[in-house]
Amino acid sequence: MVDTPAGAARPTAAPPHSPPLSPHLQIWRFTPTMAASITQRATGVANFTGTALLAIWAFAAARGEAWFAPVAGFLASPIGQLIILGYIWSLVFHGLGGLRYLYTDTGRGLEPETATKAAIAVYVGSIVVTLFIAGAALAARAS
Amino acid sequence: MSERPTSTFAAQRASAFVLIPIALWFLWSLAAHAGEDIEGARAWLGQLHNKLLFGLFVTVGVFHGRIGLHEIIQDYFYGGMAKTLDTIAIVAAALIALITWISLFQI
Repeated sequence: MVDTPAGAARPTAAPPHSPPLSPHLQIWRFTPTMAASITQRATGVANFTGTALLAIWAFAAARGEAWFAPVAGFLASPIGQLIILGYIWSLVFHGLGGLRYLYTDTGRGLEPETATKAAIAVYVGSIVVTLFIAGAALAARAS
Repeated sequence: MSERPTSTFAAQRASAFVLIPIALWFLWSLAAHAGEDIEGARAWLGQLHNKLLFGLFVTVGVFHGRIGLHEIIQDYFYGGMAKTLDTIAIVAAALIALITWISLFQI
């Protein structure tokens, strides 16, 4: 602020008394914990959207075949299957990541080495569990 | 985090705790019933415990999601824009829960 001439426009239009915003995502140095934190938020938003899909699915099931057939058809298409797989992974990641946060809320597991390992474990675990669920779904359909 | 940080923090954690077992039930159900036709879907949602768990998953889910969306909005937007986005999030959450419950009890 020292070299800003008096009366010059502020770089951002922050209203007075507003809390500081977060820096842009690109500003952070990459670490597994930082990636897991961003992914936790991204999967949270995805889960909210997935919940909207559940509402649409339930609505279609209540209306009847004329509504249900296109919804089921879309979900059975390659794009629909990818969305379902992504939704499963998103739920699993957010759930495992959430358990990590519930644990660190207690003040434990905050040493950088432990936190990094836990963040990586959430990624690996989410992929393993997702593949397991997808495999179980395929097996249930085949039988 | 919020204008009421402690209660928001507690509500976020409490809803997370509630969601863990319901999400497990949901994922298990998804694996067991994926790809079923409307008769299968109605038979499944016709059972009261599935109806209630499905409705709870959606309702507690959007409640929990609303808190998270508010947190993200507060991090990236100021004043009027933040308020508008918050309102959109609240309306979306309410609509999702309302449509789900009405639909469930029409089955």
